[in-house]
Amino acid sequence: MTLADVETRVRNYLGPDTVEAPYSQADIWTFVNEAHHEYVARFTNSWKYGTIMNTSDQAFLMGDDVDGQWIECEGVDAWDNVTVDPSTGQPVYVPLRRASEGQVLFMTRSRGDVGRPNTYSLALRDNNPFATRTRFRCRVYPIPDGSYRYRPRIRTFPQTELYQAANPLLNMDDEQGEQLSAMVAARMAETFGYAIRDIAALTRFLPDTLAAELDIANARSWPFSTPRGVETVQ
Amino acid sequence: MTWLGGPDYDLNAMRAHGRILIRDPNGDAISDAEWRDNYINPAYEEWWRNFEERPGQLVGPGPATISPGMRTQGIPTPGGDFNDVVYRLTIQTATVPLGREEGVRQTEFNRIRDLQETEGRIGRPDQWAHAGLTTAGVPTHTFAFYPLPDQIYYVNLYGRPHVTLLGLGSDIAQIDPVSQRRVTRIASYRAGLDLKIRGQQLDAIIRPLPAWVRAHFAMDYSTQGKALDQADTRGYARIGG
Repeated sequence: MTLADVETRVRNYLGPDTVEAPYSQADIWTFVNEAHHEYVARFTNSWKYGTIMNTSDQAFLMGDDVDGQWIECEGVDAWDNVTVDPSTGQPVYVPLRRASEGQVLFMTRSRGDVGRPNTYSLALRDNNPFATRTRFRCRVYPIPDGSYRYRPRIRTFPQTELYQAANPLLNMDDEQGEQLSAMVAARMAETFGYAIRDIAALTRFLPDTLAAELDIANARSWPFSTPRGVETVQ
Repeated sequence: MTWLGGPDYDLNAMRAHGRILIRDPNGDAISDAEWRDNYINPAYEEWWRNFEERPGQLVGPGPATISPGMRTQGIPTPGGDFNDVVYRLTIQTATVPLGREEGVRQTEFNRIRDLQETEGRIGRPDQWAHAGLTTAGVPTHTFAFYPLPDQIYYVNLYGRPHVTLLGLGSDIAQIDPVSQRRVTRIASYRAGLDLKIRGQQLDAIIRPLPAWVRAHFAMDYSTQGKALDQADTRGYARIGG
């Protein structure tokens, strides 16, 4: 689904009039970008492979490239530069177990085994705001007995705003795109003063978890919203 | 942060977004300079101070150098804060290519000075200490290392950077894209309070913010029913006035 698709759905939700609408295309795109970044950070568990590190060091910097700003590193795989899949000829990456940096340091300095790494830790080394990447110091254990390639599986913010009609949503399927469209329309409707019953109609078909996370549950359950004086637990 | 391709969510975009939220698309209510100085920059600075800890950020004229036999060294940290409670440093040999950064054990300043003057061992420093002195109110961080350096080493201080406020329309808030939008909504909320716009509009501005943001920036009370003197749009009878 592209930015143009989301815009079309939002306009249909809010009313197809483009002459007297209180919002412009730029306004819609602003709201879409806001919701898109939030949705990617909170809901899409999609990940991509970061740049592969080829090193024999026990501690090295990961993410020292234009990977974009990391949200989370889901795992690190290692390849011994030798083992390949006999049917495809592709390298076989083996996932490493994650431990805390203190645990890895302790094992390194106490047992000090040398061999194929099976454990890794990540520690924030440099969150330079003036760079396009976040850098982590990755330590592996056992101490590598040779050169290995390390491939991180990471989630990142999109590396660009959506600024052209044909820009696709990042790692979102059509269902998620539909949810995003409804969410954007609901936010815009609330901002531009649409009646609360219409906002509830927009969000009625969103799943409960999304409505709860985005705090639109109140509008969604109109007219039985949470009464005043009752704390809503987030 | 520079994004690959396309426009950035810079100060101009934040202002435009804020104007949408307070229903002032033509910018008649608040000027560009007022948006930046009275609403966006204060919200950005408060966000940075409270939620952007960034302990892994290099501060100081990094890397600073310590010379052979040096006992104490003052290392200024312009644009950042440093203390020996939560922050740390590393040292590396000043070779080409640079030596690997090594962590150094922290200890007390007087203890290191005592060792320097009594034992006086020379070698690669494996202990460091910090004395938080000031000159005319400005911190002049003084560091001592032991063993006394046997050659030139580089010292990297990892502290907490100060925020760089936005000035030009093309300046970008140095936080993640979700937080950038939250700063815009906080600024819009405060602008809306000053403009005395409707409570329902304020509620629409802050609704996408998570509860911890609304709690920290004290947004909930102003939009609760008891504080509103306008009729709300909910269909049920209000409980408890």
